[in-house]
Amino acid sequence: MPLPTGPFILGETMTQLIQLITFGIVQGLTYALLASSFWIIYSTTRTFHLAHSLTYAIAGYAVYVVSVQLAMPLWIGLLASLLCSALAGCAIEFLLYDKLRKRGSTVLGIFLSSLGVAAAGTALLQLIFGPMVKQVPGFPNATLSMGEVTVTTLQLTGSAAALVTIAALYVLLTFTSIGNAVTAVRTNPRLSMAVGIRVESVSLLVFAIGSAMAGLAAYFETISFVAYPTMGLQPVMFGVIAVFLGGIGSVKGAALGGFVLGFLLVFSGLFLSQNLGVILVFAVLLVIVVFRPDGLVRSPIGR
Amino acid sequence: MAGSYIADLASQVAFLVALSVSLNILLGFAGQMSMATAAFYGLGAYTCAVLTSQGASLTGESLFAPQLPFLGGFLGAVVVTFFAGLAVAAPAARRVKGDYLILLTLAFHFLFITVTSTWVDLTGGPNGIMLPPLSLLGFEIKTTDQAFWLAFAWAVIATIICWKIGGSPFGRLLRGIREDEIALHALGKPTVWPKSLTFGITAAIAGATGAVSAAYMQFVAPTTYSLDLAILVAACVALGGAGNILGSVLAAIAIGSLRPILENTGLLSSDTAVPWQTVIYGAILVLGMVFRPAGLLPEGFSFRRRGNYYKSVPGDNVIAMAGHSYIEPSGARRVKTPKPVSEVVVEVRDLTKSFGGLQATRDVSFKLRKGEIVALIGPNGAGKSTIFNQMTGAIRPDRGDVLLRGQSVLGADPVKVAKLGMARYFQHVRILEGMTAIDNVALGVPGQTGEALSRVFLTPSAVAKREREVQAEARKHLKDVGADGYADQIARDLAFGQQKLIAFARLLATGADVLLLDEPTSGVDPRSAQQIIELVRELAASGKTICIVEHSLHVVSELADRIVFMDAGAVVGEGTVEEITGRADLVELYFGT
Amino acid sequence: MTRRLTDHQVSRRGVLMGMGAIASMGVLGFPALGFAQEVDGPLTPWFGKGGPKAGAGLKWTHGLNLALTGTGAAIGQVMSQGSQVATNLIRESGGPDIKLALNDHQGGLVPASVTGVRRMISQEGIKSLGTSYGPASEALFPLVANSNITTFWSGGAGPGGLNKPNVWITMALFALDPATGGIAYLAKRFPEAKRLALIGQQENGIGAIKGIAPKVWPQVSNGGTVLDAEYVNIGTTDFSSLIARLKSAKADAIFSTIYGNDQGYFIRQLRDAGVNIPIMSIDLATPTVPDIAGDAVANNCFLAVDGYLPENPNPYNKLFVNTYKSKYGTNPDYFAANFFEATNILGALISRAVAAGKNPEDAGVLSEVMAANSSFPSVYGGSVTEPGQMKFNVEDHSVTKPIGVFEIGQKGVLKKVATITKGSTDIGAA
Repeated sequence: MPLPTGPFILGETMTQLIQLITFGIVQGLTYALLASSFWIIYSTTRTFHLAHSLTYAIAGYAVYVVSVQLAMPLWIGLLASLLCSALAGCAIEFLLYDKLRKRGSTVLGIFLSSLGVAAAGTALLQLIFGPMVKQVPGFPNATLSMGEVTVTTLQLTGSAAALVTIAALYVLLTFTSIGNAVTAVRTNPRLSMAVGIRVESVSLLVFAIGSAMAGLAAYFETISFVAYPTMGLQPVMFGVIAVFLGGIGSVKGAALGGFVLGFLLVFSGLFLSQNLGVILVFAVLLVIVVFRPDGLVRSPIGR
Repeated sequence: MAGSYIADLASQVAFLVALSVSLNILLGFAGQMSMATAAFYGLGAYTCAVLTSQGASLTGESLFAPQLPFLGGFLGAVVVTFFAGLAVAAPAARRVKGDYLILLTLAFHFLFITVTSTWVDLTGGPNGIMLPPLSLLGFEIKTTDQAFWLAFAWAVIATIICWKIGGSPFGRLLRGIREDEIALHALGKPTVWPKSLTFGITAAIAGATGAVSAAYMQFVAPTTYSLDLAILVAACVALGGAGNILGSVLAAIAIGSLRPILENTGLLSSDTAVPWQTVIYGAILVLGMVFRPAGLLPEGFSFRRRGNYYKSVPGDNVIAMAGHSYIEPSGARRVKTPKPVSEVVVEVRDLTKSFGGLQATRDVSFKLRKGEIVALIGPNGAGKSTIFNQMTGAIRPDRGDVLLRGQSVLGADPVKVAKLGMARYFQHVRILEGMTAIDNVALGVPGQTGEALSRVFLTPSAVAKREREVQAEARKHLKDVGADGYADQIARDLAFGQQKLIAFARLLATGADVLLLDEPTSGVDPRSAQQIIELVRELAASGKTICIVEHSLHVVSELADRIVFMDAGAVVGEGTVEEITGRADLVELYFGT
Repeated sequence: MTRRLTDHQVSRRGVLMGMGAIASMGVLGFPALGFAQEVDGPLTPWFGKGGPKAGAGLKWTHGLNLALTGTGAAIGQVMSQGSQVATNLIRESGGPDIKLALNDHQGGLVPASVTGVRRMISQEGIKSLGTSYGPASEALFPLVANSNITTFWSGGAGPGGLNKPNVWITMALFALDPATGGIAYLAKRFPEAKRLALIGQQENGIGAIKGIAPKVWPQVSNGGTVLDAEYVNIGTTDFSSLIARLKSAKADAIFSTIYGNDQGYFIRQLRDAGVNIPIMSIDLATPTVPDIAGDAVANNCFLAVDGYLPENPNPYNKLFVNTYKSKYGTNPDYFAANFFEATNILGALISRAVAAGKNPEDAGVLSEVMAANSSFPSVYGGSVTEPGQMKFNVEDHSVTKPIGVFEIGQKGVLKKVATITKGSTDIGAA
């Protein structure tokens, strides 16, 4: 198909550029948050945890139940989101993955059971809450504009929360003893077991942290738009892509991958129609996996 | 297409069976985790649709359409998907593995879906393309009952193809790839082409299935080829039993029947049948993985095995009783007599390798002669294994050369080196854990007709004849090392010493005349160690050239005709056992201070 | 409301009478006019009297192929409710006894659709079908053509359904029918608008974007230009790159054929980004869209569609709305209305076939009856005294029914602002 040309590209380039950068930052931070949330789980426990998408949806419904059905304030809804997602993630790790690993399950076995949880859980959500989307109104949202460039307060809040969370994760991993334990397990589980680190506890911890981070993203999506049973699929999928895009060696790599993905999706709009931008993402992913499997950020630790 | 619902359901199940058996070859046998099943299935369907459609999309756009008959579309689908499979395999067969392979195939899947939804001029976009009524060689297929026989026939053909592949020496090669590719390389078996071919075949069978289903449905649209389908097929393989074709067939039938049963037993109304079905299916997947990770019918499972066990190898128990006839009774310490100087088989010249700033080996030179046992010894980190790695082509030296019978093997990969007759025995055995002892050894046998897939189908009798020879040979080698008593046991279930013996038998099976042995007795109980020592001695006596890396001075002194002493990447001494043990500096170096 | 109490009595009596009538027709070989007894019912004013001559008691199973799970599940639900209301009214009015069978095509999956409809044909014995969604319906055409299943495509219908045997499109063609009038209205309402952006998914609406809009806009807008068409994937939830392009392109108005939830995300994000130019869309019927779009939906958004207004005072519509509300507690929407109408058309066709002494189950009979008289009452248009009218084109099986332009208000409430006709730039009064 012919590429769209003409007036769409030759508009006021500066305005478009600044607007695109704004959107890119907003999108990029969201994906960076999701990527980091998947990364901490994946890199530490080597679990291809696609049931993360279920965790995400559970967080979305948690804020709906608390802030709409129980009519509590939105900040309690936020706490509920974080708590429920962390619990959901830990439950999956404790009841399933841990057992599978101890039984010597293959990578494929864990991957498939993860998909099984995601499928069954999403269907259960639909059976419980019905297929209709659930709206959680009430966040005081406004559009701020600087000239023709705009951003909403909701986008600003979500981006700031994502940034702070990623930074907090970085600090936790780099400067605390808990972070050292996590890094030890990530780089060498056997050795860390030998030096007395309880690998099971660390696994639970990273599932709690990663799931709560996904819960945060889900909270903002729900209060911005709606919650529905399959809401986690696309964000988590893109989060996974971002992790491998950026590199699985460090949180910086994962976060950068998310950021790049967001920018890629938004900036492809400079040259391409939106639907072609999505194709570009998968094409870039293919290229990265094939030619630079370490991702954009190579790291001495990791693979 | 009119006709009965039951026939329609049966056809859908037949398609699922065909997809599952083909994925089992790739996933169960070759161990390649592909999530691209639905993409290949869809690619075949779309190829057939584009080639056979009447050239107008449902939104009224005109499309590219050569309007071929169904058979043309079918063949087109097979060819296109076969090459698409090879294309995906290009990175997958070389370096992309594990989680990365999942991601690679996922990316391929999404790429396929987004392109079919977007490239409206070819694919009709989300609205899809209609196909003409199905007719095969002029015979019009009007009802689902007739179409079922087509679907059924195709499922049977696909199953037979996959079953043949799985049971052939090629299938054994694939299982070896799944277990340990590096071990196969050291046995002189290339893996890139078999893996690529398997990707191609799996894709082609999925594509052909897609073509049949598209012609049957008379319709293609992107939503049909969802990731859910890829997951469903993978679930059929895993639940049925990876590496067991019959298991995939049964699982596909069972899982494919789930929704119709739920709908028609009236337990659930249709608007909740689907979510409940998903819940049940997800639960089966999770519980299956937890409680029966090897699947319903694990690999190697056979309903007939018990009855036929001894029939397959006549006189089996006699052999088992015969024991160690080849080897002298252990414990009889042999007095070493100086050997006449024989021809040089291997010459290592100035091998130098550094990793970053670390000098691993420096100007290492030595010679191996026919019938001689040379021991490479030295403290930990002296660079002994690195020398082996350079000799077999696993690592390319910075400088220096390796000559085998006067010819340089520098630049050759491990497969080539092994084929030239220099084979390696790994310190960590690298036994193919999920395979039987006899399969492990059979994989070592060179020149197997049945490892070329085309021969499996074109000259089956030649393949069968050669396979009988291979089996006999493998059994002989097992008997030679005294391991024939557990020929049909899975290697994982054996003791470490037994695994080492099997690895030895496998090494013998390669027929290589230069054997590089990396700590053959470490971690083995004394009885097995003695057995291995006898074995090595016998091999040298039979004219093999042997180089052994060993820590145990006992073993070295029992075996070695000559010792090459290495320290910090360089040769610091060379001579007989007595000469080396006579040098105080080396003894001190070896035992430390 | 009070009628519902007698629902079962009427139908039981109807069954007995119908059985008697059919038996006598079959056995004695001549119309049992002497036994016939005419029945008045709620639908009588527009479909005539009920009774054995109208097929009372005739058992008939009508299949519905809908999205009952997935993102479109809510739509499937109201569609089946609209049909349910119709079958009850038909039975009460002395028409055939239509039972509904359901199949879930899971939000448009082709195999689920084809296999499920085949199941309904063979296991539940359906004789007719109502279906929704694009590909999920299109995939059925060969099946319904060969199985003699009269099919009403009443959701997401596109040009792919034209001229297909046994397939009748009971709604305005998605995007194609209302595009000309909608774009003309945009030009009339916003005469200063020059640059029209075209946005859509590459599905049924593509003809409106590629063919109609570029032709119509320059004519009606007095020298305006259309910008290059922008396509988005179905299921898109982030439109930021598109919005940035719209901003820089300085579009004055938007013509959008985006359907489903995507439209909600698009409108919301567009307004959040401070772009307040008018949007003419051709679908906002998905009941979840106003939830997703929030307040933005009431900001300069229009709809050119066979738009359904529950408050339309036409008597046929009032009967529908009252009955629906008493049964389900809410007002019916567009989807419910379309399936209500289509199911009543089925009832009328069966009745007319029986009245003509034919067996409605025989191949081609319903089509013959349709060809003889293809006009039916409609819940769209009309007046306080008269229902609206829908008329099928017996050549290509499309329908002409009242379409309008609507201004969208809070919660997606529609206000009709103009009447338009298929393919015409004439703008009529509301």
